[in-house]
Amino acid sequence: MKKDIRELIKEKKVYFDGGLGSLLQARGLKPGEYPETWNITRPDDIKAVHAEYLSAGANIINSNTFGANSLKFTGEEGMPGLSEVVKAGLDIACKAVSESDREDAYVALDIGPCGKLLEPLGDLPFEDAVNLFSEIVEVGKDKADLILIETMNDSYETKAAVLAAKENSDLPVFVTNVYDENEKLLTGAGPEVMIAMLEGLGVDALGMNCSLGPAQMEGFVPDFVNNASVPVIVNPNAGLPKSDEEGNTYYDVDADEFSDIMVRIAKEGAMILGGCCGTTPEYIRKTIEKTAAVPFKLNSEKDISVIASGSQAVTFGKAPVLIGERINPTGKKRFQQALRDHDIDYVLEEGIRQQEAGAQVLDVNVGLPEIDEDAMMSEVVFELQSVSDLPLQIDTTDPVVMEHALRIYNGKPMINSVNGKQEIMKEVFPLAAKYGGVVVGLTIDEEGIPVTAKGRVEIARKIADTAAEYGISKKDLIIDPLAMAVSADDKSGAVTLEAVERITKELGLMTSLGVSNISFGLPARHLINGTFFTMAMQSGLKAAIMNPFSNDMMSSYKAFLALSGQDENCLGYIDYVNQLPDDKKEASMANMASGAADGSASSGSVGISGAASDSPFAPLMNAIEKGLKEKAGAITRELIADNDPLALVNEAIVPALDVVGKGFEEKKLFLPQLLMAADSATAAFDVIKENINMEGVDDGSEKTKVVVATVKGDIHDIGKNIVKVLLENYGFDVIDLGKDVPPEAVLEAVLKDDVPLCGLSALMTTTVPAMEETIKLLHEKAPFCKTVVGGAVLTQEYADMIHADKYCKDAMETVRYCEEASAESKN
Amino acid sequence: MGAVCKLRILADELDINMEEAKRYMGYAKGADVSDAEDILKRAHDDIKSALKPSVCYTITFVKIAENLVDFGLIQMKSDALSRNLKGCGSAFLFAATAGPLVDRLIAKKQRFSLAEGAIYDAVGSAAAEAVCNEACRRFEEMAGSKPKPRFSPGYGDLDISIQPDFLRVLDAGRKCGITLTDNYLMAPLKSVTAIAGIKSQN
Repeated sequence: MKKDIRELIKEKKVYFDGGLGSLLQARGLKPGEYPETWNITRPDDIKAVHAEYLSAGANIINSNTFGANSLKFTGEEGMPGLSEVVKAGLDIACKAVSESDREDAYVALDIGPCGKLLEPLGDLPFEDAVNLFSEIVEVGKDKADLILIETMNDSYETKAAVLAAKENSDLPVFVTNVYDENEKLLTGAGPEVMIAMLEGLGVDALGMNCSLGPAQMEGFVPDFVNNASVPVIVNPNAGLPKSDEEGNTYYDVDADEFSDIMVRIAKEGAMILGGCCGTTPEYIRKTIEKTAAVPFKLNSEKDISVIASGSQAVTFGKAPVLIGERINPTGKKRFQQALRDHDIDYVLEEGIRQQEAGAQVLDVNVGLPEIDEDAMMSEVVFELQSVSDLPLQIDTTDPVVMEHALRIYNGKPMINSVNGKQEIMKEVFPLAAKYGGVVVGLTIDEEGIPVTAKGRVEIARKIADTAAEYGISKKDLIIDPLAMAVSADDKSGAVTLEAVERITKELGLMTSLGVSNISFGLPARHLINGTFFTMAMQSGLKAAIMNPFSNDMMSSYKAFLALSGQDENCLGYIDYVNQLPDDKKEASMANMASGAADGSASSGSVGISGAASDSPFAPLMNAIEKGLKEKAGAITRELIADNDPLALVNEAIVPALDVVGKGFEEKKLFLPQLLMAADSATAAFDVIKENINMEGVDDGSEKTKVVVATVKGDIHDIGKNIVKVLLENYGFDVIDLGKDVPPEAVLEAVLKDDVPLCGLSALMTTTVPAMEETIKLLHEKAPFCKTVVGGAVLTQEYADMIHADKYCKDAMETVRYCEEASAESKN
Repeated sequence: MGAVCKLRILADELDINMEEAKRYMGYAKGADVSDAEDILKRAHDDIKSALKPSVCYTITFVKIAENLVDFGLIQMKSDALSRNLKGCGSAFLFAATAGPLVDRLIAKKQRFSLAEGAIYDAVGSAAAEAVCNEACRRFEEMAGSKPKPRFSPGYGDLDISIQPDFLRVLDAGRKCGITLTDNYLMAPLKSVTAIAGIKSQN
């Protein structure tokens, strides 16, 4: 009976086979030809290569299924179907193994990248990727001994493949990624990130393959061995591919040099070794021979608490980790409004601003009774990860919402939260065990929150014990012993601090707190918050959910690091203080704003508009015309106190924008200047929106609606977004359908509100037909709606050909056209 | 047709041509950019640190019969390309990318600011050009003569529907991480496929 490979890798060194492509090329495979087709057309050649590797001593034979997926192997147009190719590939590998009579030889179902980039960088949705990989696993699992997911250069695609493997089989899963010279995947992850994510997902071994030769990989091996708890795999190329005089490929590291370096790699602690492109049975044989003398060493369990995004890891245990709390509707009217309006950009901006203010992790809570929390949470997590590299803390009480967010999350998140209630732990721990994550455990249970530190320690113990039953170790747990208002109970601060200390010392668990709860009900809350934060850090706190915009909190944090010997030469502290007046202080922002405004006015500078310098609006107009976004926002904040918002819009913002628009039309100004002015106007509008309800800006006249969309098939939308913002600045009510919008969706939006204008954008020749189809549909079913088209590929001729009502060469022309058309439609 | 090889190009070796980037942004030649100086500088530095150049190529013979250009394993039908390659006995076929992190950075900027979005986008395009220029400079060293101006699918009458085959022959997905969307748009977006012909010696 063959031993499970999970056991074998804990007992001895294990060897993968080497490259397949170059061996098949030597047998006549042409560049560009799919090697997997040989499973059907030339099975004996494939089997012969497997046999060569087996007799060289390799333990694991990779089935010839690397590039097999249903996007390529469609079963149409002469291509074999996926299941035919995968089945045949595994049959051949199994046959080779059984003919070898080796008890220690295994067949890996080999899964490579699917050939498409996942959203948001490409157009393949995450779940579609999971499905593609699931099909392969489904077909191959019965014959394979393990699944090898290899040559992945995107962490997100790797996660999709691992989920597919885990959800459709019980097979061992090994994963190797492609790192570049800087030890990063193409999409930015380093070993620490990949280890966090992959161990979180429960893989059995991990490492690197392809792209680099053994010499370059050698330097990276310690980063794997020292961070991973599972065995480490190293499958290098035979150096770099070169072309000889006859045009034949060769690799510049020969078998002797290769195997010499592999000995050093084994000594570093990588115990699963093999080869990739350019390596042959000779490379593997020599590697096995030479590494035989290197003693086996089981990689040790690491006590590292780590979370990660798709590109950045954050480790707990040293300086306390700052978790930004601002993505949360509780008590924030503007944020609630943004959720109701589906204003994702506002939510994202809260995230980016917190990152800039020093947050290392972002808490994400979008629970509001009147919105669909499930859809919103998944969308915000996905979108936030496309603009920020910070790991996220998924914060919801609904396990369904939690699971969906954990699924699409790229990396290993924090999970907020469980507590001591059995029912809650039963729901959340299985999710954490499946998807990975560091779980926050609140010290509250069926009986409520204990008033003593001892009681809270007991709940923490219960949480840790229960977590262990689900295979979740202490390092993936962080206890929140709950800061309660000291105004309601004058012992509550002391109790929480004692709990922090005892949980740390007695249970060896980390702690986190929502710090600012402590000051609820007291005046000058920032004083209490900052001091309590310092005391908690001194008691051993390892993370804080806090407001990174609070100077008191940040000051306490920076001072604590300097005073506790965690800030070399106090450089972090000095940097922090130096930055303070510029962009960190709310108060100083206001000072800056008034200074800037006064400055502009008193210097008497006259903008392009020649706005009278004594007009109170002159500084704002100047700021917009010159594209000074921050200044425009700050001045508006000043002006709005004493001025009618509508007057600001009609007498300052729009006229200033118009000056720039005219300059652009006359070719005196260029696109970046127009856009900077538009950004500035938007910043001014945002301030106005913050200060009054959106309806308040309405001057009573009905705004003309315009639908804008990038047509089906086009996924890049910069031009459409420019048109959108300019139209909004000019007072249009823009319904933005986004990118890759099907014709029917455009029609539906137009019909819903009887929209008189529709702007369509296309970047590529291949999507002009989709534009034509959309226009045709609109002309048939919504003849009242005028279509205006633009985009990189469009010309007047194209526009005429597809019967668009109007072609506009740039955004300003679109604004002018919409103004004309709107005036006509109102008459 | 020979092996598909990779070029090792580091971001530090590349100069992003900011004049070209400004042209993409719509600036007239010699226009005053003083009001955008800071943001241009920032865009240049940020794009450069996100830049992960990657190039794969192969050298192949060229046979031209009217508008059909035969590179052995791939044929392309195009009058413009056959004119471009007139007199060439061989050519470099290559795929080059600035890498997905440049795309990611541009997408992030576009999300929050029109001006920065447009500027970063233009600088990203200039970065992809810089990768191609460096590739062609290396090709010149290898070939011993200057390649013809490079020619990409989408130029003239060379339809971009050739892209799937072009990328497959170059194994560009595995070698450089260049993929195609359903509409033949490359992802990462700041990527180029091209042909650079080499004149026959005699």
